[in-house]
Amino acid sequence: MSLLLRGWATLVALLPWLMLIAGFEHPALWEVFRPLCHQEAARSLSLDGLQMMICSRCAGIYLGVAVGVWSPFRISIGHFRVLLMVALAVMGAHVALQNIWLGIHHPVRLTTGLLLGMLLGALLSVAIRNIAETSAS
Amino acid sequence: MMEESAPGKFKFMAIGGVIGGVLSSIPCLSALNCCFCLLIGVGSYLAVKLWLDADASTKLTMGDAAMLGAGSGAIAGVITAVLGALMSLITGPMQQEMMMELFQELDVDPQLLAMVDQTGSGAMAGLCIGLIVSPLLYGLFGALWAIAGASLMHKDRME
Repeated sequence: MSLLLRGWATLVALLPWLMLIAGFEHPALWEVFRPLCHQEAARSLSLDGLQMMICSRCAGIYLGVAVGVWSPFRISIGHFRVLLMVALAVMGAHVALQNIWLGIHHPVRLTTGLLLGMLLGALLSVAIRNIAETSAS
Repeated sequence: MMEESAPGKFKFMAIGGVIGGVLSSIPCLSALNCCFCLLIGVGSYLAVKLWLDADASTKLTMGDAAMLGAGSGAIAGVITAVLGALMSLITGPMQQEMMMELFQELDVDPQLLAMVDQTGSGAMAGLCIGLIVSPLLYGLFGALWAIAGASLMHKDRME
């Protein structure tokens, strides 16, 4: 059960990455991601001329969720709240600085997204463990 | 002693899902989803909140929050896909016609004209892809919002 749910979360979170690597795109998939991301070309990663369906910050969040969901640690709610504030502060600071001074740097956008995504993924990992334990008992 | 059972979840998933899905389908307002799927999150968090409010003695586990959020997000995904396809069926032919007229006036490449002419035929394929991918994707984000919202707002009710 736990493996199945983690697999689902990983596969869904990696979907835009897999589409980019496979070089597959369909207008309907762009439509699916359109409400979730601005999809601005200048702020998105591309491979061999093919643009990713989400921006690089969202790509970091998705990748972070896919990694974080396999976290072996049981993050406590107290720790989550503190770490969430830190991750949001780092991301917020970069959003502000990017627009007024730093410019668009995909590695930084990816990293700030990754931090937030990993944290949320780790919390989802706790929830999945909880569902698996409940269904087993 | 009979054990008290927690209220059923589907009703609350449906309420959250319908609210999240309809809000996400409103043009302009749907742009709020760019902020980490905010509108899907609103529906998912609402599902958790209403479920907790239904019985004051119910304790919330992380698993409960994730299931409520995932269910609500998945329902919102289905609604968004269906409403999105309906919108494109209604407005698509008009947009297509306008583009064709404009391109013909501008004497555009015939290949491009043929492409525009065929755009309407993908509506059904779009609906099928949307119905498969949107519930999975929105379900994941619904679950994330629900567990994050529950951790931040209902720490005292969590087991």
